[in-house]
Amino acid sequence: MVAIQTNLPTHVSHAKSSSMTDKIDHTQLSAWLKEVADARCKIAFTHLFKFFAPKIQRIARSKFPNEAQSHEVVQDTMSNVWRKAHLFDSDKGAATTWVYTIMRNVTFDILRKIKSNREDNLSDDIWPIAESAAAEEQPYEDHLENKQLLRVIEALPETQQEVVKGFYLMEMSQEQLANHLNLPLGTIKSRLRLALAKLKVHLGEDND
Amino acid sequence: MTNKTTNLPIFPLDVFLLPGGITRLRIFEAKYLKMVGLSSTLGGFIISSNKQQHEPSSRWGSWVEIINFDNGDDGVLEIDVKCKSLVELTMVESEIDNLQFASISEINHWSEKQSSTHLILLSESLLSVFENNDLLNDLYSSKLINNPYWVVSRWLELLPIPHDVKHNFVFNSSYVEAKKLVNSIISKEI
Amino acid sequence: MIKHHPKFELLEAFVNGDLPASLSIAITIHADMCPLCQQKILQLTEQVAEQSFEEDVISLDNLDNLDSSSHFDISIDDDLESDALFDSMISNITFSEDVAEVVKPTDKSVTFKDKTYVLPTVLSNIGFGKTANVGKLSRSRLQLNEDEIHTNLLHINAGGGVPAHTHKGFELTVLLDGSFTDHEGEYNKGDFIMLDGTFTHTPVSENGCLCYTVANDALHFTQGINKLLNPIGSFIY
Repeated sequence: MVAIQTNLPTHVSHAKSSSMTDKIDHTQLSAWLKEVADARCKIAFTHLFKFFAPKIQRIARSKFPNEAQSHEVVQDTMSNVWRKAHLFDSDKGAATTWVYTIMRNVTFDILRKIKSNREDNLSDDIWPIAESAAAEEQPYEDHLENKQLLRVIEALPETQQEVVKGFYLMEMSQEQLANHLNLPLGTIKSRLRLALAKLKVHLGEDND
Repeated sequence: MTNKTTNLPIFPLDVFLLPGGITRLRIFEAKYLKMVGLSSTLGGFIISSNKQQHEPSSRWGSWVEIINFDNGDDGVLEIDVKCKSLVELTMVESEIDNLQFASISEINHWSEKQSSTHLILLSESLLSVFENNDLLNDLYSSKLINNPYWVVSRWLELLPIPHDVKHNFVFNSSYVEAKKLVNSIISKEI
Repeated sequence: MIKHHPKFELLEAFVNGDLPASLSIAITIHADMCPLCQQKILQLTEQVAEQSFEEDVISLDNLDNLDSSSHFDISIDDDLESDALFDSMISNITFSEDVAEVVKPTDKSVTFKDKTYVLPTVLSNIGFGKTANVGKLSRSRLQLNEDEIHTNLLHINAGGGVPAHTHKGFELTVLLDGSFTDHEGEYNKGDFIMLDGTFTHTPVSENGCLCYTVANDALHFTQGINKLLNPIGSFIY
């Protein structure tokens, strides 16, 4: 039923869920990371390991043909989680984002070692771990639900209003239609009025 | 298969889009950028006006898939979406970041039908609208100008008539009525 | 003001770690100067992370990996084996309680024709080849070792330009400093300009500029006498 549309190239092939209900317990993951950072707690680390390692292994298997390499990804990623937990800041983003960044970086460096024979470990310069913060809310206005904006649009002269709306709505203005049919605007307006009146009679008044 | 429900994000916009219809959207708000990302794995999203009156008919929307995207001149993400079917929104819930999700069931609509009766006047006139509008022309790489259902659907989308009138054509009205309406405006034939 | 940005598809591949180092670096340089793309990258990362670590991915995962049957059979044996393996990994990792220290790389600078530029931080740990000069053009190659993909710092001295050219592959330019123009208009600091083989362009820089360039094929000069310059194509890119 869920058609996976193909025009938008996507590489998240390993990351697909048919429902939105299967939630990750972010609070728990962050709490474990904090215990690892503050108390070097091995139990908390074991919980993290059990949560992340199988998933990391599965993702790594899709990128590396060789099992040893996918183990290397698990080992290196989780080792970084252990040694860098103090860099995680739960105010800046989810634990999943932070661990993902580490895993992606480890994978990138191993792939680069294989393909380009370079052990320059550039990934942490490209995607700095310490800064892998989550998106901060930008002061973007909601252009659709923003009543103020709608009021501004509605205050514009009708022609301009239709130009602004037309960008979103793909609808012709009455003037455009008049031009297109090569008829006076008045004729278009009365045709529209007449057509709508007829329709109303036909459909009954309950749809108003 | 047809009655199986799916959970998809909602993009609230008062646009009238029937199956086969294409429109370009500019996406710059954080939660809708997120929606675009999600839609590639979920199989699209729903465009649905939040100005609809839910009584007596239920809330409906256009289930769209992204068919193209680009950065506009100002760097804002522009996506072209195509409506694959009309849907009835059954349950609407807010999730992360106030992005709404709806359970949907598909509506069988006349606009999805095919036939090859050529509506000379409406087809030719629609074709010339496309030819004179670069954006429309670009969006529709294939114009099913010989399919009367397609032609009437596009006209219904384009005509400057109030949206609550257009909404009638989702649940209550047939192709014949839609064609009559379009004809009465374009060619003055009834 | 930055007017040219990487396409969504490129940002997505970047977040997934699927781009070569040369292009990944280019996007990092651009995003450091462009809050809009930075924002998109952060959001994409968050999404992909969330999806990567969701619980119920196994069944659907198979849909995408029809080519590799090995993904299907996560058998019981495998599980036991990985349990043992995982346990030994855990004890290895936690054996040392050392904490990794993070060293912030020191920014590098380069000098072209008496002008010194501080390079973006992402270039700090990359080696550069010797600078070569032809007329008003200077370039220094980054030692990234990516076969047919060549990455350079290209410096155009005031009043200089690159002769009209095209090439079979792609050519990416990120403007690190200064500006240049071609028939399409003016490009400024931070612009991310990706051209494919179908374009012909003649960038000219009135006041000089420094670019980070990535190309996967030598340039071919297209105009009259410039054809004689074709050997320079492989020099510049």
